[in-house]
Amino acid sequence: MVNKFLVPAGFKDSLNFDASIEHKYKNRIINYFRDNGFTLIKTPLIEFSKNLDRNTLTLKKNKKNDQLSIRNDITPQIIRIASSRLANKIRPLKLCYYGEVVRKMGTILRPERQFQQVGAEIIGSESYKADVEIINLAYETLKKIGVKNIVIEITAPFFLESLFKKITNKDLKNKLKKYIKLKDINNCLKLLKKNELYDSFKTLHLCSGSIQNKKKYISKLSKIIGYENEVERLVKIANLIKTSKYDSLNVDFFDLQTNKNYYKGIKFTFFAKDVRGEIAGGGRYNLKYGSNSETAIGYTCYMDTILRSSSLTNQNKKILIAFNTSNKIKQQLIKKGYSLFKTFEDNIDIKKEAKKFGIKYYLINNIVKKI
Amino acid sequence: MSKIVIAVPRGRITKECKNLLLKTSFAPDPLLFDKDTRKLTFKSKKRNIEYIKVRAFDACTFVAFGAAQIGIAGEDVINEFDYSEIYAPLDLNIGHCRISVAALKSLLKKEDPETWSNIRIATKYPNITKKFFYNKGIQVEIIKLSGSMELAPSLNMCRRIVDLVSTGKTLKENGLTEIEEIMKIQSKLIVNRSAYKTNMNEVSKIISEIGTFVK
Repeated sequence: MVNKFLVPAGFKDSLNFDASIEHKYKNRIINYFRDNGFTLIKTPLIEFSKNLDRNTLTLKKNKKNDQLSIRNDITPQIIRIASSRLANKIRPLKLCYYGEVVRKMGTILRPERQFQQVGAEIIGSESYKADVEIINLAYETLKKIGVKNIVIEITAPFFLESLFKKITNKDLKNKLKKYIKLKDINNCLKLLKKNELYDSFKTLHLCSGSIQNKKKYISKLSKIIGYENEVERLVKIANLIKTSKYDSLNVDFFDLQTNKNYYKGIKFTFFAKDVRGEIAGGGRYNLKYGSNSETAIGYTCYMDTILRSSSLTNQNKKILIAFNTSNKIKQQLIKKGYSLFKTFEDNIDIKKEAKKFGIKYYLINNIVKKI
Repeated sequence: MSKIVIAVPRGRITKECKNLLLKTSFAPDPLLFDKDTRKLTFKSKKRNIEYIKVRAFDACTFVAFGAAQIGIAGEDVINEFDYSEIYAPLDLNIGHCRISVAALKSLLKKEDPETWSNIRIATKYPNITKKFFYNKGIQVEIIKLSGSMELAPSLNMCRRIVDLVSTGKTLKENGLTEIEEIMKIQSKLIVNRSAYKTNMNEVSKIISEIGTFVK
């Protein structure tokens, strides 16, 4: 028999600090995108299963026998909206969103199955400035919520994909992919000895690192691999991303897409020092509907990871006040950043009462006192 | 300079790890290689680099979760866990052995492994085993053990095992025969993905310095 207090594996009750700080950070991110002209939209929690990918939690079929699932990613919903209800709206569309997503399975490294996803998309603009806008806004939001020592990594999966297309030997291709996944350049190059693609793979690897140190290799990239326009575009984007001296911009073209392999142009990922895994990311992808298709660039982050990455501490100043405190005083306290906790008891020692509730501040004779 | 923790496995490759790491500019306190010490964390010649001693099977997990930024692990463990947060950029050319399927000699007199369709196997590598037999179209039921695998067939738990084989002596002494090699194994230097991305210069220096001492 299941203990009635248990919740299913991967789910949790988020109490106190976590819930309030998640709410605050989510608002900061969304408001920053809204301040920059992005329209906030809200999408349903349940979708027809055929609209979603794997790892969705499937529900019972409805009366019409349609299979329904709880969304595990909001981006496909944005794609559905952009290609249907908003298909005739003038481009570029700038949308932002937030909401809970649920996964069927967790992993060892990420057992959580419910997260709050926050993101933004620019749909219908091919301009490199759209890429720059999304990356810069995303970077600013992370800074606003106290993420320190940020590394922005730009990758362009199409370089590696184009090289793999030239390899006909399936066994060689699989072995190369395995070594690239492990970042094992020595074994990669051993496999490619006497192969015409040796220099191409080597150059791609040499391009990995801080953009400042790698510009000379990147400039050679188009001579060896081609994609002159794409390389030029990439350099333009990189030049317009401004990071603080504590943060950095890296490139890594020697990286295989492991998940979300729908990215068709550049892909970007945010890491932070001493924080496990990636903290946020996004990239350019194609929307296809009917005979139409258009390009989009999106950014997404999950609030549980953001909470782990933030260096901000709980600054919520709760204060115990008498129930009959005047509205004017209450407004002043709220303005000063206090969160008011009104006692329902009369004739009590307010200091003792504050201690009882573990509240740091109390108001006595209209003066704020700290315990 | 950021702190870097290197996870070193205890057990069969201790001596080879010692020969390799003591040559580096960030050589650990030699106590790390002392079998009798109960210490688990050790200083190095460099202030920002520390070592931890872990079970060989746990090295990958420590690095994947970012408890250690760098580690040494066998390809058996790397493949078994297949963590997305781990890179393995350097072969260390130590700890060579193989993962193999073995069965009781008496069993092989009665049946041909080519005819297997549903078998039970004792192993500490359930993922590698399942994947290997899945690709052959053989259904496999796993008995997960952490050691002394060779006992399982002789005590009638099952008739086949998947385990590390070095010389084959232990198999022989327990009435088992090696049937098929699943993969060749050696130890590799492993790196946490986030550490690699956020501390690329420092991590790359460590990788290349260790690389210079690999025979």
